[in-house]
Amino acid sequence: MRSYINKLADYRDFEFEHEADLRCPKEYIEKQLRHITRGSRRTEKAEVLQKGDVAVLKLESKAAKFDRPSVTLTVGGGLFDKELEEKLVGRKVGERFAVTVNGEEVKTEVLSATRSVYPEPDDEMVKKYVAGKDDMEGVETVEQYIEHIKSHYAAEKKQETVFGILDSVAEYVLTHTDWEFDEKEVQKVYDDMYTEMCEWVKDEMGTSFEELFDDELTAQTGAENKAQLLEMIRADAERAIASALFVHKYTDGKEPKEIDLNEIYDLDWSFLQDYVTENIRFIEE
Amino acid sequence: MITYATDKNYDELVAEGVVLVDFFGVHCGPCKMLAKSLDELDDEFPFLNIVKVDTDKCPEQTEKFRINGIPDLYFYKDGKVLFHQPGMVDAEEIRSKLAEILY
Repeated sequence: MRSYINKLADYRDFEFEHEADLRCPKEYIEKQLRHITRGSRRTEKAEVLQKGDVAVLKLESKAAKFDRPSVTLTVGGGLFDKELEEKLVGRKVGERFAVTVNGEEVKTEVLSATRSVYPEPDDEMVKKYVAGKDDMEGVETVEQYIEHIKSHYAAEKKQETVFGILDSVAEYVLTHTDWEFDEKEVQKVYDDMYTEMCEWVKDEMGTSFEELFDDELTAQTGAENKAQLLEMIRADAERAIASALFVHKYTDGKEPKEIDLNEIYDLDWSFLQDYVTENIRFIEE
Repeated sequence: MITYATDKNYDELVAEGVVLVDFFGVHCGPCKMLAKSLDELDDEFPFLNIVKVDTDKCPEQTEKFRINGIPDLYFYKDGKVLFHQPGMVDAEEIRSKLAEILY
């Protein structure tokens, strides 16, 4: 490679949280159990509001958002207004009261409320739900299903934790190392990335990059327009070269003569993954 | 409430209120992940209308919307598309968009 490192940052200097709780929260288990009981969900009238109830409210306020003859929301769902929703818990249907939300007085009346009621899960529901799901082979009872939920949660949380830290460590090294990029090398990787992106747009969106509208581009990439996306690809190209130099420095020390996308995608980051994993204490059930 | 659309009843299902439409395929992995998120949204916000369109069973709507990749989400309000979200999206992004459209 023609790009090179002037001074490499030490990834071990990066500080991170050395403990991760992999125990599955009760709310998560309840949410997952609903996947097997939701087919038998029923709705009943609620008298005193609880988190999760659907309430219809009449609101009066100087603030337009809180001045509505009727608004339907889920208490604690957070879609309408978290502060107001928190103040609804314990209120009765028919009750009129005033609360202060975002500094504004809001006269509130609870017009009606309903609650979703889920049946207790049983083994038959579990069998029906897991049928045909390869990743749940052997799960037949509610107890086994809960164990599956817990282990799945722990595995995902562990991966999320390790990869989150891995990203931060890599970011630390990439931003604290003094690199010297070869312009021709960056251009080559940029060209490869650009070609790959154009092919992806054609395959996935059935159009060419040139004909792509900005809103479609934003939805897929987060870039506001094509010029910004091309700048992002350029930065990615430099980042890819830096990653290759970094990984090779810490693994075999053998840099490839020419850098290409396959080489970048095949980089062996396991040394860093092992380092992060070994330095975290995982709290399990 | 989650409803499965047909080519014939699609327009009727999206005509009123806030409707979230999910174009999906039964063998599509990301669609299954999104389906789980939509089920959870339906549990939490049962007053929402979620319409699922199986692209194999609804060729006319799939063609009309030029669906080239799935999953593909459309957010409607009173029959009009307010927002289009092609590709996989997480539940938080959907919630944020719904909050904007609903209130």
